[in-house]
Amino acid sequence: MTNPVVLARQTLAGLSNGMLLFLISAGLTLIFGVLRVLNFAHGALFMIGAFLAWTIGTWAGGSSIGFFASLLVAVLVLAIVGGVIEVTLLRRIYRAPHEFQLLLTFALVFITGDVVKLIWGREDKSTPMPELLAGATEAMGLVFPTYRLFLIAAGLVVAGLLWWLLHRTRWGILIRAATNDRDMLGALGTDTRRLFTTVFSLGVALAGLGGALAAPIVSVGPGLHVQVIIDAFVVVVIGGMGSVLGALVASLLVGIVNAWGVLLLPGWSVVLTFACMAVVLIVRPWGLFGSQE
Amino acid sequence: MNAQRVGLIGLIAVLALLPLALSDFWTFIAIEILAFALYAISFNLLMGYGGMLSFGHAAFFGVGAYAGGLLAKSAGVGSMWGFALVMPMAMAVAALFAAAIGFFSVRRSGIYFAMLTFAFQMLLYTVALKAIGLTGGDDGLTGLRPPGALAAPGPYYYFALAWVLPAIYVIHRLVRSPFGLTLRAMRNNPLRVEYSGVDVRNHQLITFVIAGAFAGLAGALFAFSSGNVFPGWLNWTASATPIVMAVLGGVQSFLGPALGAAVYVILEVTISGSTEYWHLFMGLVILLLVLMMPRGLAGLIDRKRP
Amino acid sequence: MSRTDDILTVESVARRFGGVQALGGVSLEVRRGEFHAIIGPNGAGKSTFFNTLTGLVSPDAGRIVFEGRDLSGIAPHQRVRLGIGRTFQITRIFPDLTLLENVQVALLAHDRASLAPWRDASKHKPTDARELLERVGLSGPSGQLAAALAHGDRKRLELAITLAGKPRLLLLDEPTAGMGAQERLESIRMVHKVAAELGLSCLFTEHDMAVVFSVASRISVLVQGKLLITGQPEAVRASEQVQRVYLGEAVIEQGVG
Repeated sequence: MTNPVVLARQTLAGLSNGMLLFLISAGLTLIFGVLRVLNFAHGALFMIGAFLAWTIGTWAGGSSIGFFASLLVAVLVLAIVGGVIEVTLLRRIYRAPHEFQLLLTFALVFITGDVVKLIWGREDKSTPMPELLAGATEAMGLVFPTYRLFLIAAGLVVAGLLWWLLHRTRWGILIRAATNDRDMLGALGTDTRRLFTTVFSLGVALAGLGGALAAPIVSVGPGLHVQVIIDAFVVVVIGGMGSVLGALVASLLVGIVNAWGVLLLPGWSVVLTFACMAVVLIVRPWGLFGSQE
Repeated sequence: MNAQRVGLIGLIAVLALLPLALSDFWTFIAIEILAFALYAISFNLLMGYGGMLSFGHAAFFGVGAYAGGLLAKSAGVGSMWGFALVMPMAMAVAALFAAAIGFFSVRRSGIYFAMLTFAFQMLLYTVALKAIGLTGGDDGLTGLRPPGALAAPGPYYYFALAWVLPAIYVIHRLVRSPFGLTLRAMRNNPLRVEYSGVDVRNHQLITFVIAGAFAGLAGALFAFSSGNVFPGWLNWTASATPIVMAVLGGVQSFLGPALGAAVYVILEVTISGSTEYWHLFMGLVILLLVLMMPRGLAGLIDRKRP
Repeated sequence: MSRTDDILTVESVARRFGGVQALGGVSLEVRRGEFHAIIGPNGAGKSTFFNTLTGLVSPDAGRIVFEGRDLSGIAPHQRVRLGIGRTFQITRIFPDLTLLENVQVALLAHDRASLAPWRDASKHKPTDARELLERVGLSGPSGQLAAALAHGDRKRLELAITLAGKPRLLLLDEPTAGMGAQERLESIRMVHKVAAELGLSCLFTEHDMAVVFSVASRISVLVQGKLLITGQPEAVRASEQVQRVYLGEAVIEQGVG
C-alpha cells in the first residue's frame, strides 16, 4: 500500500502535469470550437516552444531571467507562427472536405518534426532548471519540488486570464458565440477572418507557452509531440470540444489519474485514458462541458 | 471494346509481366505497392464512397499484419497452401476487430466518429506495445518469411497479385452494386436514406467491416514482404498514410487511390534513399496536394470530368 | 375513437423538451384519401408533432396508430417500410447522384435490395424510376446530376424519392417552403394531383393560407402544442377561436382558394 507522502507527491506531480496539459489542450479546444479544425499539429507546436526554451535556457545558463525570457519568446514566436499558418495555409481550406484539413495539419506535423531535427538535432535534451524555481518548498508539512508548485500557479494564472478574456472582452464573447452557435456569428456582423486568425494564434501561443514551461522537467526531443497530442485529444474529448473550462477540469483529472495510475497500474494506465475517451464519445460525446450541437 | 477496357487489360498485362523486368529490390517495392493499393482503395470505400472519414483505419492494416504474422508463426506453417490460408484468416481477424470497433463508432458521425476510431486505434497501439509476450512489444514481429518457393520475390509477387486483383475487383463490384449506390447516397444525405426505409447504421457498419477486412488483407500481405510488423504501424501517425494515398491519387475515381499508393511508395523509396528527412518532403508534398491539386493525380489526368 | 377509414390515429400524444411542453395531448386522425393540413404559429409544435409521427422523437405519452398498428418503439426506417413517407422542410436529395439514381436508391430500399453487393445498381427498375420522375414533372434528362436542379425541382425530386417507397400516408413538412407565391400554389396542386392519382393520404404542415385553403380537405390548428380545432376549411376559417388566437382576421380573409 502506498504511503500518504508518496501519494501526495504523486498527486502534486499529477496536478502540475495536468496544468501543462491544460495549456496545450486549452488552445486545441479553442481552435476546434471556433475554427472547427482539429489541429493535429498542436503537439508539434508545443514542442517548438520546448526547444526554444531549451535554447534560451541553456544559453542563459539556467538564470531565472533567461527562463522568463524564454517564456516570453516562446509565446511571441508561436503566436506569430500560428498567425502565419492560419493566414497562408488554413484559410484556404475551410471550405474544403474535412480530409483536406486533416491532411494539412498532418503535413505540419511531418514538416515540423523534421525541421526540429534539422535545427536542433536528434538527441534528447535537458533544460537547466531556473535558479529561482529550483529545489523544494515546504507546504502543509510536506516537501514539494518548487517548480511543480510554480507550474500549478502558472496554470491557474493562465486559466484566470483566459476566463477574463472569454467573459469580459468583446473578443471573448465572439469566441463563445462562434463555439456555441455558429449561425449567430454571422448575425453579429463580425470579421470572422480576423477572429479565426487571432484564435488560432492564441491557441498556438498557449501551446508554445506550455512547451516552454515543460522544458525544465521534460526530456526535449523530436519525438515529444507524438505523445503530447494524444493526451491533449483525450482531454479535449472528455472536457468537451470547445470548452476551456472543460479543458481545465479534464486536464487536471487526466493528470491525476495518470499519476495515480503509475502507482497502481504501472504500464497499463494509459489504456485507461483511451478507454475513457472512447466511453465519453459513445455515451456523451460533447464531454463534460461541451455544447451539444 | 472501349478504351477503358483496353486500358484495363493493358494494365493487368503489365502487372503480370512486371517481375520479369524488375530487380529483386524493385519487385519487393511492387509488392508493397500492391498491398498499399488495396489498403488505399479499402480506405476510399469508407471515406470517398461512404463519406466516413476514419482516423483509425491503420488499426486494421496493423491487426491484419500482426494476425498474419502470429498465425503463420504459431501454426508453424510450412506448406504454401497452409500459408495461403493465413491470408483469409488474417482478413477475418481484421473483420472481427472492425465489427467491434465499428459497432461503437458508427453510432456517431463526423468528428465524433473520427475520434472514436482514433481512440480505438490508440488502444490497440498500446496493446501492441505492452503485450510483449504476444506481440513482441517494441521489437514487434520479425523474421516473417513465406514458406518454400514463396520466399523469393517473384513468386511472392504473383501470390500477392492473386489476392489483390480479385480483392479490388470485389470492391469494384460492391461500389457499382445497390449496396454501393445506397452507400453513396448515405454520404450525401443519411437521413434521406433512412427515410427511404434503410437501416443506415447497419449499412455503415457493414461498410466499415468490409473496409477493415480488406485493409487487414493488405497488412498481412505486406507483413510477409517486409518481413516484420511493428507497433508503430498502429500509431496515430500511421493513420495519415491511407488518407494521403487516397487524396493523392484522387478520391473521385475508383482506381485513383491505387495510383496514389504507387506514387506514394515510389516517392518514399526514392526519397528516403537519399535523405533522412523524408517526412519533411512528404509534408511538403501533402501541402502542395491540398492547396494546389484538390482532385489528386487522377484529377490532373482526367480533365474532362466535372 | 378511430374509425375504419382512418389511416392514422393519434391519441393524446404529448412530449416535453427540457422545461417546455412541446406537445400537450394532441389527438387527431387522418382519413383515407384526405389532404389534411396542419397549421399553427411558429413554435406551435408542428415539427415536434411530425417527428413523433416519423419516429425521430418518441412521445412521453399517447399512442400513434397507423393502419391499425401501434407505432410505439418502431424505428423511423421501419415506419417507412410500413407505408409512411416523408419529405423535409429543407429539401433532402442526393446531389452527387443522377436524378435516376436518386429515385433508384429509394426503389432499391423499397424492394429490400439495398444490401445487394454484386449486381449493377443502374439496372434496377430504370423505367419505374423515369415514370416517377415524369409524374412529379421532372421530364428533363434523368442522367444529369441532382446538384444541377433548381430549388423547386429539388422538391419535386424529393417527392419522387418519397413516392418510390410506395407510401400510403405522405407526411409533408412545409412542402412549399422557399418558394414564391405563384410557385407555391402550382407546387401544392401538383402534389395534390399526384396524391389523388395514387390514392395517397396526406398530412402536411404549411404557413401559407392560400396554399392551405386551395387544396386541404380538412385542417387542424395547433397552438402551443395543443390542438385547437379540426375541421373542414370553411369551419376553421369561420371559427372565432382560430381568428382570435392564431391569425389576424385580415389573413383569414386572404385565404381564398
